[in-house]
Amino acid sequence: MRVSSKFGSIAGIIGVSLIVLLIAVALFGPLLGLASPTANNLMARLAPPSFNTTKGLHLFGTDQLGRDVLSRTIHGARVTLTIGATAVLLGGAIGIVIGLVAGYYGRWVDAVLMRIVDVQLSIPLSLLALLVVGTIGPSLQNLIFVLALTSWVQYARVVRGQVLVVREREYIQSAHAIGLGDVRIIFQHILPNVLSAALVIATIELARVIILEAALSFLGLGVQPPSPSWGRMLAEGRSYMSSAPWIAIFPGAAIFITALSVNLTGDWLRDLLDPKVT
Amino acid sequence: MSRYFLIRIGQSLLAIWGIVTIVFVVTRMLGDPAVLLLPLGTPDSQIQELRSSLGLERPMVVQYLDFLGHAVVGDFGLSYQSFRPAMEVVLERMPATAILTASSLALGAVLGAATGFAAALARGRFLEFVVMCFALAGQATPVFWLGILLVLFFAVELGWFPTGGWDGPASLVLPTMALGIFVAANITRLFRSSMIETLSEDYIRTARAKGLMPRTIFMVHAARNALIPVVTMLALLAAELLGGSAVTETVFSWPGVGRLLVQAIDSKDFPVIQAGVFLIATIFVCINFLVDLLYTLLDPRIRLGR
Amino acid sequence: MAEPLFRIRNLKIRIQNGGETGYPVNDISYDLCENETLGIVGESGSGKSMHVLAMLGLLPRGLAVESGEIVFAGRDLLKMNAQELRNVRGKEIGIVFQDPMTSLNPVLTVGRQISEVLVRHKRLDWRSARARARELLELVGIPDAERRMRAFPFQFSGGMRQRVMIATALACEPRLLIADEATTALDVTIQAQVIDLIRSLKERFGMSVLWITHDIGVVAGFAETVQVMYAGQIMERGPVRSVFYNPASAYTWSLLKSLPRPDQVAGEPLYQIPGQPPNPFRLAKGDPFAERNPFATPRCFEERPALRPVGDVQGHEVAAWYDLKTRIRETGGAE
Repeated sequence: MRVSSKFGSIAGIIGVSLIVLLIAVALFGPLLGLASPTANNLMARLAPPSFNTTKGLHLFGTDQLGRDVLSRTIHGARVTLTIGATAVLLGGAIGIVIGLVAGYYGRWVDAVLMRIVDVQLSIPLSLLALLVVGTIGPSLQNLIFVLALTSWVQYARVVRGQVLVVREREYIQSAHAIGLGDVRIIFQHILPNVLSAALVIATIELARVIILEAALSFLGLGVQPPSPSWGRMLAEGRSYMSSAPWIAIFPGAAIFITALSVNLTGDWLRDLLDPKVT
Repeated sequence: MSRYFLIRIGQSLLAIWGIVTIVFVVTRMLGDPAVLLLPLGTPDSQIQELRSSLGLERPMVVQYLDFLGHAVVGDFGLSYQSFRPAMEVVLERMPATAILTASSLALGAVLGAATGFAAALARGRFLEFVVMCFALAGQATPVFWLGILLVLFFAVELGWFPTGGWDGPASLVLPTMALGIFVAANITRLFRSSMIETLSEDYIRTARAKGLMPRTIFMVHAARNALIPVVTMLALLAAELLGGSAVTETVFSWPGVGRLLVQAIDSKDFPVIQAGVFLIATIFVCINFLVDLLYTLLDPRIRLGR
Repeated sequence: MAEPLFRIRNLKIRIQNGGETGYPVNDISYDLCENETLGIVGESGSGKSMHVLAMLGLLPRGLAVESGEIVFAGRDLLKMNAQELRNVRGKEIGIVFQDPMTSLNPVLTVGRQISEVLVRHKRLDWRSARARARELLELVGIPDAERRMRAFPFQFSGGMRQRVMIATALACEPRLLIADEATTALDVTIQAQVIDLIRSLKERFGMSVLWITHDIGVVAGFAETVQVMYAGQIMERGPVRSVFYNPASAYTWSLLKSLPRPDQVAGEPLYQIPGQPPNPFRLAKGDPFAERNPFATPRCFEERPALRPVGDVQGHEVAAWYDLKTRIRETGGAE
């Protein structure tokens, strides 16, 4: 127990540090004075990673249009983290409210909302995303909307479960007794109790959403060119896999590191807060 | 007990109905199918003609009920691409997806169970650390990236396996590895934590107090309990994979349902999209139902009812 | 009383928690004779359950035997390797744990859980093991044994599950049965039935019984010898009647005084032992009970007392510096 929890907190610290690092890269990376992520340079197409500066400094090499892979990867972090965070926050806000309402009011409200959750859960999430983006068309807003749509369910389920427990506690009963309104009870007294569970769900969802975003972008249904996205870069790099593997390797590694750090943080948070998530 | 299953069947039917409705609403959100079907600049009179022949002038409710009626028997119209029944187009891609699902689940389950078991037994030792590092890495690796790397290494560099497509059993190896590793990573972590939890139960102490051999304790007393959540997870993964792992199938040019759907979305072949989503979601619902059945078989507490 | 069946000498169990070291069992020695029923009484944390777990090699993580010996039928259990110890567990020593709800495996049939002991130790095939298991179920008073063999633990009531546990523990006709808080989780009426059952089985099998409980009342009608433990030490031991009517340790006295009695005046509060239960990480250097003992003398805080005989009753010993009766007279009771 002791050994693994110590290991867990070290892993958690590594995870949090990596996330902080990624955010710093996303925020300040563009200030490094690298080539623009969208600047084509046909003279320097498919240049391998090197410190050689004759064709401009390309630490991660260049892609088929001569764009700097490092610069694109850094900008990709921006795009990915923004999309991921927005989608998770949006999905979280919707899911938490629905979970609170379902758990608090119970009865038919709960029954209806939970049936909707069941229906949504019976469609594979990636398929739902594919279907919706495929029909409403790929764009940044649509992407965020779809990712949020796939993630609210988990929050709603878990939050509802927690509310059912919290609702029976004495201080909630006494809040009723002194005549506080439902809205006040829900947001002031119940919400704080479900936030730690919601936070754990948020990390699980963030990792999932980031990978799903990359997958959709990979299929051409996510972030649209020329905006750099890791999934898109992977798709483009795929055709040059044998001649210029770096185009696909670096963005893939970036997805890997992001998902890993989020997972590590999530595991650690789960141990720390120990909500009954499942 | 039987009441529980009646409720579950009801829920499943409700879910399928919900899916059909979602498919209907989403495709109607696109706008007028008649406009989408005909090339740009088609005269209005022609559009009107098609509208009435497609029954689009009827009230929405009637259209919806009509759609429902056809969906129930799997009739989603003709594919815009091949002009064959959409469901037929989808169904002929099913075997490829099913084979890939079966092989990667088998690989993932065996690998994941073995490593998860080993990690639980090697608690606090270096082996556990190594296994967990691999599992964490496996969980964070996007399957399609892994797929690309596998193709690069084993197909392009070494030339051991084909880069993609279906060309005999050798083509199955790389996609199976990519998906199998993903499945295994999930199973490893779940099985390990579930084993560790089970091993701390009182009845394990009882088993030890009875002087049973460690083999019996691990395999019979602990594993049987610890496997219950793993089986659920496997079935859910099966459902997810049977839905056609669109990206993996694309990476390996695998002639499965996932890739078909991506292509259909690209070419706006709505009948095929509808048929595909309906089929996959129905399979998903059925598997979820089977999971519940399986669960009750594994856990006598549920099987025999409290 | 004949030969000692087992002998514990200077047993010390260490717990390691971070940088701290504690001693939940702190140097105990005692004997258990063939056919004897010994009741061990103490609060949680007294080391009463811990030392039997050590005996069976079942100490949880973080706990280890530091020193001492546990000689069972001539062999030191602490020197045995894992396989030798496994051959003793369940065969020569049977144990019944506290919580029958969690101590049986939920996914295996009751029949399987009893039979497997016989397959393991008696080398029976499954068929004859099942036949014997059925007899055992009948023996412990489970009606309709044939059908119940195929049932799962959750289909049994608490008392019935405990009977299953007893059948399992007795399957190989052990020489020693350990009941670790075996009736604590049961209703009072069921508790009495289970105690009666074990008493009759003891007669029938001719085994020794080690009965561990926090409830001194349970021991009274049943054990021959009682041993009171506190903070990992033996405070007092002796024949039941002598210890009950003539307690020599202030701790035993407190336990007896906190029992509700039929002749109690209604409304009169029960005696409560003042202070906190012992903490194995902060052991007093003197008598461990001194700080909660209204009769403690200065010496109690300074030096740890060893067991000494009480009066002229054979086998009655106490670890105390004071003479309880004198102290009660001097202080005028415990108010």
